[in-house]
Amino acid sequence: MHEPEQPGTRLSSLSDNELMKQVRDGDVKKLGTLFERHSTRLLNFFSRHTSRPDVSEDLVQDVFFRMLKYRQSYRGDAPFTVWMYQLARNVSADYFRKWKEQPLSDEMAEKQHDPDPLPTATYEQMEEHELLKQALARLSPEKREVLVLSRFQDLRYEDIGRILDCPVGTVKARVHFALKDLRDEYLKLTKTPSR
Amino acid sequence: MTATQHVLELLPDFLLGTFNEHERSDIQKHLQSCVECRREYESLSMLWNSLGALPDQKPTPAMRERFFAMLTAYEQGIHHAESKASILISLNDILRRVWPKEPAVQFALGIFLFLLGGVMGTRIDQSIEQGAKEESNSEIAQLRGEVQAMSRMLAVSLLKQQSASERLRGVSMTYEIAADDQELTGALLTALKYDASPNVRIAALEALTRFIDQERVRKELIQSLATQTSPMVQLAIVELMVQTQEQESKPVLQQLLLDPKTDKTVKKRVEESIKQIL
Repeated sequence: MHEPEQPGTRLSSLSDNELMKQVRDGDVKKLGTLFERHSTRLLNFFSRHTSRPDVSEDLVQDVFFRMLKYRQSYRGDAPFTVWMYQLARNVSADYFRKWKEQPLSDEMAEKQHDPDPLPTATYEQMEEHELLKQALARLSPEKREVLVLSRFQDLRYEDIGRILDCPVGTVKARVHFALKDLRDEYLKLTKTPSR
Repeated sequence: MTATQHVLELLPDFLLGTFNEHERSDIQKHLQSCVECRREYESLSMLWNSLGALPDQKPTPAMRERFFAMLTAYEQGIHHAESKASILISLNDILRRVWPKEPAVQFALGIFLFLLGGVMGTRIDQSIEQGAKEESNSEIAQLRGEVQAMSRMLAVSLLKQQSASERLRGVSMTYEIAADDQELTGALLTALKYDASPNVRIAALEALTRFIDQERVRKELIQSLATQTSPMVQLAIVELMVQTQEQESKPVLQQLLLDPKTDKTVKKRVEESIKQIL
């Protein structure tokens, strides 16, 4: 088993791009540091984008596997996270293709509770979180993706444009439309008699 | 920007705060005077903030463990490929130096090697026939051992795969391995403790029942009961504890009973099982 950051190696001071270039040139161990830095963020990208926390860890593993497989194609002319999310998009596209873009059924959604809800969260907050997650799950994958990238992943619109391969103006418009759709879905859910 | 322009198309910038102070105050002025924009802004920014409050998912220790297992395997694969390539390169070098340059000599050497091959082939054939009978039994035993070792390696590596179905295949492969093996039980125990999929955890538990007479396996099974989160897996371990009348599991079962996070059905079964373990 590797120890990702040995004391004294000063790996933490290296940028993501420098580390990935070293991985590309054969020092694959350095991928461990990139995993420590980005895997949790990536896990949350998948769990929100696919609405399936139970498969998200497998999808993260797939992204890091592809980083090794395609390491020689890494050029490093854009931020490392742009490349990482491009690979993550391919992984989630494969996932949606495999599952025929089926959104989470209500029964499944019921089962997807927070693995570790905040102890301070009130019942109302938990209820609101649940409704928001369900509303997110009802959006089309494209709309959900742009919302997840802009709201949760600390990315600039310019970088999201590079990831989605579209101009910045288009990204902003998509965020706006996705947010409006999310509001509609959220309102529909709050007006459901069973709720 | 004038106060009469609507600003809704600029809302995403406003949400991410990508404006400078001057632009921001212009927009705020507009929002104060335009009811339509203000309503839209308030409702969407409230939703935006609520999204930001959604709790994050925390990774399980298994995710990290599987990643580093994959990285180690990949690294070993590269070293193996490199050493193989370097052997081939040096072999090429030797041949290039030794092989004659003259076509006539090359032809003669070719004929000589052909004849040498024929003679040696017949000799080896005869000696193999003589020794074959004595060796066949030990060869079969050796082959059997090799097949077992290969299956074990395959099962252990399948257990580290990223797809849950491959890991399930890995668990079922362990049934084909007769030998009692530390690495194998270790891999199954890791799957039981850390695998992301409850189905793989249950399959690993079933496979481990074969090794229940080992003290290490029993102890780790009891320990894992305290850390399992899925009621299904908890119930399966509790059943096994009752079947094997595992006295040492009682303190962990009591703890499970006191834990407020334990599922109701599990608690009921734990209560019964404490009475059943005599």
